[in-house]
Amino acid sequence: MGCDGGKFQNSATKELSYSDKLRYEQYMIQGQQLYLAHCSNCHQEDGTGLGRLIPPLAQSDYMLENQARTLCLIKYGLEEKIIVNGTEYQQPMPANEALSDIEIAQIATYVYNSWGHEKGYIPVKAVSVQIDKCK
Amino acid sequence: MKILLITLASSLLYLTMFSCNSPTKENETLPILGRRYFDEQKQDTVYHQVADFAFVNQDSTLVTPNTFDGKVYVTDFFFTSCPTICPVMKKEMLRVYEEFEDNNEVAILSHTIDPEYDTVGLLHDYAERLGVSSDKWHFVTGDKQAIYDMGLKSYMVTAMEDEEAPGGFIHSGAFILVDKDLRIRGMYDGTVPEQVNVLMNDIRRLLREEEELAAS
Repeated sequence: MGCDGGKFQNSATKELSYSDKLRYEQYMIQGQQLYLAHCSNCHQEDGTGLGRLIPPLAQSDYMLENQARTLCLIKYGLEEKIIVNGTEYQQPMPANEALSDIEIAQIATYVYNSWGHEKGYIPVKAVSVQIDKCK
Repeated sequence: MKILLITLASSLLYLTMFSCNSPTKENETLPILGRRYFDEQKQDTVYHQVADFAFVNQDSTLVTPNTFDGKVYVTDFFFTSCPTICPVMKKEMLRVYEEFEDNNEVAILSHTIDPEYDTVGLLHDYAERLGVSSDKWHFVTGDKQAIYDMGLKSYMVTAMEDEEAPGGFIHSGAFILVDKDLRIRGMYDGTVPEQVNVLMNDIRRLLREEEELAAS
């Protein structure tokens, strides 16, 4: 890994400090493992979801337009119907209340910087502040 | 020496794994799985066959072995609220569906193992959201014990309630390939894309085999 960071760097991580770039890389690696353990059964490894049953995360307007909401629903799940890219989905998403803030930060960093998304590093401090406001 | 041993061991392991995936060569017929016995009176081998069944699909149509007359079919066990392997299985089964969409000799039969929750209406909605047709892919529900028995006795896979398991049920992720004589010709891990590729190839082999048999 050079000064510019590793393989996960994108336009949104250009301005990060050296140590944050490093941490971002760690988040991406951990986040991928957590994604495979907790999310990909339903949302699939490539983030495309399943028919009109499970919404995609890749290029999902619903996910990309609101990061705070995404953090809350990773932890507390989702009951109501939602519309993603013009399609209605109604299957409830289970809560993952056992996930720690750092794990949620890593998952969020992963899904917001995969499949062409470039939303950058989502540090645990910011995640904790948001999680406290969920309920 | 150590390296040689490791190479030997890993190639052995590879061979065993490979043989699990595809037990026969491309030009051989697929094996007939399950218990068999020799009938003295008929002087013939009697193979394990899928037992008689009667379930209801997503359109409230009765599904029995007759539904699959002249067809080979792939079957599995799942439930719509499944939080673990089912969505992956359904994604993989969707590939099988799309591959054989225009072939009337191939059908799919998915049993819910949660018939109390998975009503006909819910299965209808599920199939519709998956975007599949009931002519080809039957999502069936019925008597719970009858479904579990089909899994254990006919298809040789686990499907039952278990309070400890995520979602409340344990079930195998297997896809089972059944021929036109209701005999089991292959079992594949429906959560592994490579195994599902083997299944799709085996379906073509089985159809060729049945074609040759009919011609002879």
